[in-house]
Amino acid sequence: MSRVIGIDLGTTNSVVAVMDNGQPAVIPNTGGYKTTPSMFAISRDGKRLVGHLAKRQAITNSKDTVSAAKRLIGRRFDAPEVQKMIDLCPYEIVCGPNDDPRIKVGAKNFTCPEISGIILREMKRVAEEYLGEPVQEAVITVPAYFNDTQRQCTKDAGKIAGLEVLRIINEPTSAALAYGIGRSGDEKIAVYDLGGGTFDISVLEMSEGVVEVLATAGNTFLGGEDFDRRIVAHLVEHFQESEGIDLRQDTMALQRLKDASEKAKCDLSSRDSTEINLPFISTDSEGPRHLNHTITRDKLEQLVGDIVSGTLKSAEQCVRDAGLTPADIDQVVLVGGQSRMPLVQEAASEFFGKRPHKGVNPDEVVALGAALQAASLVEEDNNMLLLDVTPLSLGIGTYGGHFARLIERNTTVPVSKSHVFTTTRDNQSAVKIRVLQGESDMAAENDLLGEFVLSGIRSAPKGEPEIDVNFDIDANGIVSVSARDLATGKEQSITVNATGTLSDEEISEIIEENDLYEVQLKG
Amino acid sequence: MAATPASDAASRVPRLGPACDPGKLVLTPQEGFLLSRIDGVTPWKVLREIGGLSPEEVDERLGQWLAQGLIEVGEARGAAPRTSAADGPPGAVALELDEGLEIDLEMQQRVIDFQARLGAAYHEILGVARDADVKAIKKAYFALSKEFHPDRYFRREIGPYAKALEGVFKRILEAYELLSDPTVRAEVEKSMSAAAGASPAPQVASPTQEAPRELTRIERLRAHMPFRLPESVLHERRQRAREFFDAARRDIRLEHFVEAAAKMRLAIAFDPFDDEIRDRFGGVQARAAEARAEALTAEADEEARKGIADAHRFKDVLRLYEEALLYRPHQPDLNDKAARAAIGAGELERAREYVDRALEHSPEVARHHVTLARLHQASGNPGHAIKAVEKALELDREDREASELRAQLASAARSSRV
Repeated sequence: MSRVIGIDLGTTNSVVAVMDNGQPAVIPNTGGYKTTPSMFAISRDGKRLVGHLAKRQAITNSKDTVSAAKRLIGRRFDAPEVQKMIDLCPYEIVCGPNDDPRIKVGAKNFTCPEISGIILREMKRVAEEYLGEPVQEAVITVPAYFNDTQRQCTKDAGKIAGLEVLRIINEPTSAALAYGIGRSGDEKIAVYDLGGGTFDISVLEMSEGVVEVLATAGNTFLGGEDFDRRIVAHLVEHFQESEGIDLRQDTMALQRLKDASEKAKCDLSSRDSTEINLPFISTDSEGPRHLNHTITRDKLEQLVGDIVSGTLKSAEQCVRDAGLTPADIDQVVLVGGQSRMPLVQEAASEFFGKRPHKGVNPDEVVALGAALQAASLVEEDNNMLLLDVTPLSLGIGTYGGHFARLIERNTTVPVSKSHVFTTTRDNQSAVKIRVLQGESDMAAENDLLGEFVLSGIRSAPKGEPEIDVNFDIDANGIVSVSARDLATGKEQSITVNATGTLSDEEISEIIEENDLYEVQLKG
Repeated sequence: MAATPASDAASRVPRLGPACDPGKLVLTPQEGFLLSRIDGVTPWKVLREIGGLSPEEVDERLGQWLAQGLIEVGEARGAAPRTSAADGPPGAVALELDEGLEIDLEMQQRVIDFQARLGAAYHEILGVARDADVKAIKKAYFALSKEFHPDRYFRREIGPYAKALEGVFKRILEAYELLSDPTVRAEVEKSMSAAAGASPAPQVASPTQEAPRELTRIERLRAHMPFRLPESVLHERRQRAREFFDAARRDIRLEHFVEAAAKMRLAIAFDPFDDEIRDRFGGVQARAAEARAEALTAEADEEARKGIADAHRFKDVLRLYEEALLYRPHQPDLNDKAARAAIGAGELERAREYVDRALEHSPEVARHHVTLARLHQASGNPGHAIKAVEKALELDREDREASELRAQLASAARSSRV
């Protein structure tokens, strides 16, 4: 039987893991690296580059190097997050035919699932090389706050990579699984996951191999990169003041600034101050200009303090949703590279009233958990069970533009809930059921997952007909919605296939193209 | 110490008084529905939720009927009958032991046994004592999840057991959720014990922020006590439905369609599953609606001639035509009448819809073009109006309305030019 792998598809870096003699282990690539940058580029001479190779030439080829595609996947082009990315990214983001964001690399406009698919394919290759056998199945992790569309697009990316995605699980849950392996007794843990692009906080309960998610919250647009951006902004301001040049106009300079900021940020986790030296960053009428600046840890903490307090707000919400107080948490697990920052560690310690657990590697733990979940699904005698939840409320749009929740967020799946609704106009002969996901009380502010019409309602005054609407989420997270007219017995239903994702045909086309390209490479 | 009379009544059970004859009552459809749910088994507090009206309105109606002697309230006739093991819960999957499946026989038997017990009380489902604490409940839940969570059989061929497992797990989850929620647990406890002494009714949902949570709780309670009505009550309901149906048929013979429709509605409220009644209802309703529409149009036309017609009147007429249109959506005359009513009511978009349909069906009828002209006139498009009325005259030189309208439009054009 072929091996199943767990993949942490991160905003900045990806990791792949597999079970080895009953223990999960991260697979290093040929260069010996355990993490692979989530980057894709097409070089000047038309070669496709992924991972470390792509990162290495990112500065000189910034226009055709893609990073952080995870921030775009599953979103609409006109979403504010996408528009923000357009301002900040050196590569071009255009609007696709399905109102989705597409990335222009070289001569082609790639869809986001395709970009992520290329990265997943690379992780698949790393695993196959190490294991010496083909790999066809995987569990892939996503931020806990990813909505249904974002998850389905990630699944599409897996398909494009030639992987059957057994399950999509949440990153903090995955980390909890890895943390809990081998531990006995009952524990309530909080997983604080601050990665490159997203922030997730989850509260879980573990006992005898069962991991139950109590609540989850977060921000899919908040991560280490935002910290970098603050430093870049600071440097740009400083340079503007001292040299009178706006470096924002120069994409190459920006890229260098970004790299240097990231490095400085990491340095400041172990040192009190660090120097940023960027010679020949710019030129003006008087010749070349250099940037030399010292940043202290204090200054950094000043620049990013509000981002960190923002995470604590989410943490508070999450703990409350779980029906607990911070004091009830037995263990705090920090995940994600950015959680190494002293300020973050202090803030988390203060909030939970205890020092975070140091025994897990924040970069690897998510992938390890994914491998564990993959094994628990396919292996016969596995003693582990994950009771995951739906992270966002599900319901329908009702009269007046309101949102009626049928399944609250943080409800364990599989689950079925129903509620009886009625008509709002006399002699209304049909109702339109709009399936929505989100937390706003106004339907327009939530995400539309799908819709259908139930017609043939007998003529009656408003308020008389009884329409039973049932929401069902199965263990795989697939949402089905049905509506039944209790008087006539007539029923209509849909299984949610998120709007804005690629059709099966489009996916097959992309796979063919990629395969062809691979052959070309080898040939 | 004593509960207030209101909360006392709420846990009691209404039933129809001996002197109550619903046929003689003047009821709105919602009231008719509420009345049909009064069966001597369903408590007042549940009627608040399923009565079809808001809880306050239900309280008001029931209070009124109580005062009028139409209904009485008494003690519950004992706890609602529990589903017997033989009579499986709704949605139960038919299961047989099958060696060819990828789930061992022992486990298959476990699933069969569990499924038969799905109607049992929550603590029985989890296998814990009535007064078990949260820790014990959680432990039981976790242990059962390991056995019955569908993931345990991920991608294995287990045939009908797949669906059964999902049903079993969902029930286990429900039991765990409700038993862990202390407020809900208290309610379930109260309703579980016999109705000895007044037990205060749960707080009625009020339009505050708490409302949605309250409703969910009460719904869960209902889910726990699926009202398995005794056969005698169901039989009684079916009888009443037939009585109303027969009375309706008498009305139809006398061509009293409006009365017939009202009685039919009551009949359906009592027995929504009687196909014959439902089938007939549609036709009767349409004719009742049309009869009413004709009557009202005549009235409205009369008013128009007298010059007193107003938008409200036309709105009423329009509504009735629309009702009739549901059964005969393509009838051009009906659409034409609806269009004219819509114009009178100021609903120009709808008028457009109807006149288009009339024209689609019968483009050779002059009257429809005149209606279109009137629409254009009302919309402030005299140019289009003139074109339409000329088309009407082309089709029928003699159409008086058309000539009158054309004259009207021409003079208006002249005065605006001046």
